Amino acid sequence: MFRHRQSPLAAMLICAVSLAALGAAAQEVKFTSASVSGLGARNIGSATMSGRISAIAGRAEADGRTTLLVGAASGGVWKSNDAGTTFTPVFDKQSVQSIGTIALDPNHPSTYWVGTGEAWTRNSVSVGDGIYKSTDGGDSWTHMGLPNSERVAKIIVHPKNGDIVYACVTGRLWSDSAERGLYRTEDGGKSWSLILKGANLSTGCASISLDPQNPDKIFAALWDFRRKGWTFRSGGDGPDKPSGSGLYVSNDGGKSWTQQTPAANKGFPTGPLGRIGVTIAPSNPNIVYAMIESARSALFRSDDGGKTWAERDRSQLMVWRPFYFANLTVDPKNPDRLFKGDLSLIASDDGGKSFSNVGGGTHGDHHQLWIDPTNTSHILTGDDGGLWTSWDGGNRWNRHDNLPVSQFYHVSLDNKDPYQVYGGLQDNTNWVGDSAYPGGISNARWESFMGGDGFFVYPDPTDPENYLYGETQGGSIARVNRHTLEARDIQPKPDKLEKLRFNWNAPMALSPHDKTALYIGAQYLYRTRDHGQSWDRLSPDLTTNDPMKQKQEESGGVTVDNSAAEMHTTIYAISESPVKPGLIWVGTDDGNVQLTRDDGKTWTNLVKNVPGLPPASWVSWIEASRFAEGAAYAAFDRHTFGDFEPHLFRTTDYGKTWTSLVGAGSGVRGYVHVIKEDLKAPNILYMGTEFGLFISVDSGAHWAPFKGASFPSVAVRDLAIQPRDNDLVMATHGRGIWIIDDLTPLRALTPEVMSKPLAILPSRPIQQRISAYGGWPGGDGKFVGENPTDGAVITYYQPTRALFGKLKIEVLDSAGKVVDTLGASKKPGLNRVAWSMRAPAPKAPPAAQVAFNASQGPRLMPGLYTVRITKGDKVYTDKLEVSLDRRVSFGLEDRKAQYDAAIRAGSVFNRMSALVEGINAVREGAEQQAEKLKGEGALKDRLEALSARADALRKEIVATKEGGAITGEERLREHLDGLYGAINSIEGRPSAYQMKYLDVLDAQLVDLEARFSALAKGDLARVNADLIKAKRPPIVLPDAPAANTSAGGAAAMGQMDGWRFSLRNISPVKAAEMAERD
Amino acid sequence: MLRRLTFGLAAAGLCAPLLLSPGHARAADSVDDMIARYVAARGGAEALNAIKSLSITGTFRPPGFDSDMAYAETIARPGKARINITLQGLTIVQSYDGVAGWQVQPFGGRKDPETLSADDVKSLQEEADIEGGLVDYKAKGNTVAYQGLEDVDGAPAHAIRVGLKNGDTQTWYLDPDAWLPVRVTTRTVQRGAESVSETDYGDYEKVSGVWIAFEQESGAKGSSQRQHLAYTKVEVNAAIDPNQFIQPVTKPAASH
Repeated sequence: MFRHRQSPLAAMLICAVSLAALGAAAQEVKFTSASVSGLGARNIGSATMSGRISAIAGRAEADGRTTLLVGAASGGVWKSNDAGTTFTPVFDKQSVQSIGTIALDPNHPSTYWVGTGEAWTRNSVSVGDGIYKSTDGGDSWTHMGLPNSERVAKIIVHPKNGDIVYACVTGRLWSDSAERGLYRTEDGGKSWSLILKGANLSTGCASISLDPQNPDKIFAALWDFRRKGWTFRSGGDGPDKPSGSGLYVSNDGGKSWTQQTPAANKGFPTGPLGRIGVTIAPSNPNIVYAMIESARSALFRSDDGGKTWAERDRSQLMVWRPFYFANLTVDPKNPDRLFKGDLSLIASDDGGKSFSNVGGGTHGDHHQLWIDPTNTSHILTGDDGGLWTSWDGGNRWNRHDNLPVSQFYHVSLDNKDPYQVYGGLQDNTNWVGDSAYPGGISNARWESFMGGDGFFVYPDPTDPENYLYGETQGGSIARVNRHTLEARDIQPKPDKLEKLRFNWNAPMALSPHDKTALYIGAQYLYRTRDHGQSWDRLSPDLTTNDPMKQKQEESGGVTVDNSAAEMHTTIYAISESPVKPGLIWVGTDDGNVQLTRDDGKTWTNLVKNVPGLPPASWVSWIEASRFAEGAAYAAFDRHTFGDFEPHLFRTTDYGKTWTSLVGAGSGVRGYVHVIKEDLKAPNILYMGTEFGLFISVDSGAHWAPFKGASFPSVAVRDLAIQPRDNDLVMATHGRGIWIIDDLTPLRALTPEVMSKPLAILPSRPIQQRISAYGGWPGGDGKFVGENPTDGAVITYYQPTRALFGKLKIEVLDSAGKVVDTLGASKKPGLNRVAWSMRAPAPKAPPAAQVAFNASQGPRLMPGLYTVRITKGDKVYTDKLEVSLDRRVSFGLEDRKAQYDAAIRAGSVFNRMSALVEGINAVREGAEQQAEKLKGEGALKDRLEALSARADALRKEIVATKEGGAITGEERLREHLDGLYGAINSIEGRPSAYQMKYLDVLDAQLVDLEARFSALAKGDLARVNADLIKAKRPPIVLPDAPAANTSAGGAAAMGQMDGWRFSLRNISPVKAAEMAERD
Repeated sequence: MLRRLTFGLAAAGLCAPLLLSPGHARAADSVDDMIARYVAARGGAEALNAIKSLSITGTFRPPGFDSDMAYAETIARPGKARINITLQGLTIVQSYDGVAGWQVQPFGGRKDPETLSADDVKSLQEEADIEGGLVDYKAKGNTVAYQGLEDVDGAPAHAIRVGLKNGDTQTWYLDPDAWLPVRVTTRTVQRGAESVSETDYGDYEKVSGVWIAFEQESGAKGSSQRQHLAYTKVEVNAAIDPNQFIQPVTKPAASH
């Protein structure tokens, strides 16, 4: 029995790391996830290419809805309550994101099981850490044990008893392990029993199927497999143990098992066996299908519950890459109809005798399929390109454009404004997308180039508008015309009788000194300076050239599988020093760290100087320092040896000595993919591991996991910093591209700052970015990436949450006037608040509808502002310099003209409001007085007439038809709202006719003001005199415009002069006296 | 659309020796113990129970909006709430009278009240619960469960799940030292479709012996778009018009 461990949630909590040693700060400073996560991040996807789907579970609900849970190969669990129209990630807080399987408890609708660790064991596969359970519909998860299982192929919940669960644990891919095989729990996962164990430590469970009518009958397939950096074995014998692969059956709930053999089970194939996918037809449990990898791989069918078998289809797509495609799904209602996911999706309607290709327009590489048992025409399949739905029984497919589980390997950026993001993905080629776009970064804002698996891609530095360099697997590189999309092969070619060894993910690098130079590594380092027309070989073989690691033609196990995925003894990392041309670092997948300081004339292998590093450790990244010629960082990835710990070192003396930067207690999780120095602050490092992003502000002495915007524990494979905008762009392998906007404040996060009660931190130069309208409704089922804020970002640091007392943020103009007061973020660590840079909206008079344009104030002029934060009795200030968008074609004088025009239009609004307020005072006051007068009478008539005259005036100013229809009623207010909106929407100089129109509207208002003034001096004064005579209170005009509801509104609208008609500041009594004199 | 202005709650903890303090949950604390701590942190049951009504004024700034709107809210026992938000003299009203909810949405030209659906009224029901769904949860028909210490913006908080009688589910995240909520997430189901919102709390001030969050930021979970609500004045047990919660039968008089 295996007792499950404490939930890893406790490990997820970021306990503070005391940084007493940080610098000279006298006060103890805590550097935690909170310290950096307030930077925030935004996910720009994309979901247009999506990514590999490794698990699908569904349920047709009684009300007709469909619940789906979809597991991504390395992007967590996504839940939909609407058959996939929308999805929500529900597993982001967990410590791993690789999903092997999902199961729904048939009797407890809110209970879900997730087995982590994808079981499709390709070279780039991630890892899991056991089994999770949710009893509240995915809101929270509890770790239910088997933490060392690494990958789980299948979980099945007993159809009648939710406490009985079977877990088919495939186990570790890269090393032996005991925690694998078929497990069973009888207490809802509190404890597990290993009920079917492999014959050796490399054999795990690959597939199970329960008889739904007799759940004690179980088929289980065991699989003996192993991957190394240079080879893969699916089935067959291990190096020192006979194969453990085989198909087993139990009739007593797993207490005893019988292996299927050719001797005992007629028709069963002979060994050696590899991966087996087995499934019982739900509608007729006597029918059992098994795809069996063997020397004669084929689909087998038993019609007697597994007693005997008959070979069925063995077409190419049935037996294609069995280690990667071994799932069979039988129609819940028709035992002769079954699907197999493969390079394409294939289906049989004749019990497996023949199969048709039904993949249609899907991406391909199908791993999972779900058939709605209540409507078997409703089918979902998951492949390397995401999730697809068919409503016609699996012939035609709709894509789900809302799963941003894309698996980027690498990322690069250009210098456009906004910049574009370039990257290559697992089986999804190379893409370019926008980092920002009006309306959001929709899937349509991404464009693909080339085909195959994508890796490094760069805009050609010599001609970035027209060409880029792209790479597919095995070092196939091309120079691509960005307009015609033609791709010219420029991969270096071998000499006579020579084989070039390019890694699956071969490094391609640009020179920081020479725009024409492009490097690529095979076992040799190559450089071109003429767009790939020719290549110079800059090195000898820099690898160990170990022939034992060059037997890829023998790779695959029972079935040969020699893609470029296992190519080894290759160069894997290249970095030319930004400080010194010709100083080039190279790392190899077999453990060499090579340096040339003379542009390739001589090379020195320095790996022996790395302390404590086991031999042959894969160099996953080398980063030459941009601050010191002799400094560099080297990351070693030993997960291909079963070691998932981080290994990161720094040298400052050209590799003579190295220092570990991630020692015990560093808090860093996962093997390291990438390390980057900040562009400006040598003390700041960014590290991407299999489980996220880690940031250090003290040169690697301490690390904090970045959790901004609920960033999940997803693999961060590559990082790029945009030098102009100072954005950190993360290429995740499972959740697409994420951007941390503006690293500037992080560069100011010193120990001294972190020891203060509050500190305002600097930001990049603030622009008033162009406001524009873009995008179009695409329905709820489309992913749209988030834009950066168009406000001025104010960043501040506070060591703890601010729960008590005011935390007030004010912005002051250069004259010291408060122009806005903002709600403050209260988080511990870094906080960001966006200031719109807008003056308060003008005051529009009440009318039938809101004047929507007038609900937004004009953007204030560029210039120097002050941020003032008040926390308790302490006040903190800093300057904020605001400038125009660097893209605009107008200058500050034009901008000032626009601002003045908007302010003037706003001022007209304010006067209009004051006028309407005065009119309403007369209208309502007269009406109320008339109501109080009983019976008919002259005064009542005059009051009613006065009210009517005031109301008639009002109706010339504002639209008054209520009812919610499109009335088309336009009065002065509505005309002004249109003009104000037009002036406000473009910040260049307004047109002459706009200004003329503003004059016209202003003049109309002056006329109306005069008419009201006349009314007040005439009829109102006379009525008031009569009211006074009748000892009734006169109708009182407001003596000043009501204050703008927004703080500082009147101040910001400098010319808001309110009352302009002649009764300003004249009391009603005085007015009545004047009227009598008239 | 306004949402989730509720008040506090409490819970317990594990982990981080650095964080242990007298204010932290003890190992044996039950969820009821934690709720008791929350009640104590708010000012005690007596002070909470003494609140018969809250009259709130303040400012409200929706996401993407650059100016504040006038905000007024009245909450009264038993379970009544009304919110007014005013722009350009037009006032949005959302109200719940303890049985049914209604609203006025005048910005498009209509000022007559509209009846809210049972799903749409749930947030007002939650708003009307002065001390929140944790307190007296059994009597209110709610259920509670401690979820453990969870990370909120990089710092731990005790998470308590509250299954509300109306079908919504809230998770209250309590500061381990202050035992006051720093965040509440609410999962609601409307016409079968789920949505999750979250509200962050700050600027706690004591009013009539009870700590009340004077600032709240809220929005859809996972979105950076946030609405900001700031109270300028909170009155306890001020005179209120009990009829304000009831849906008017006729069109109200024009507000201008």
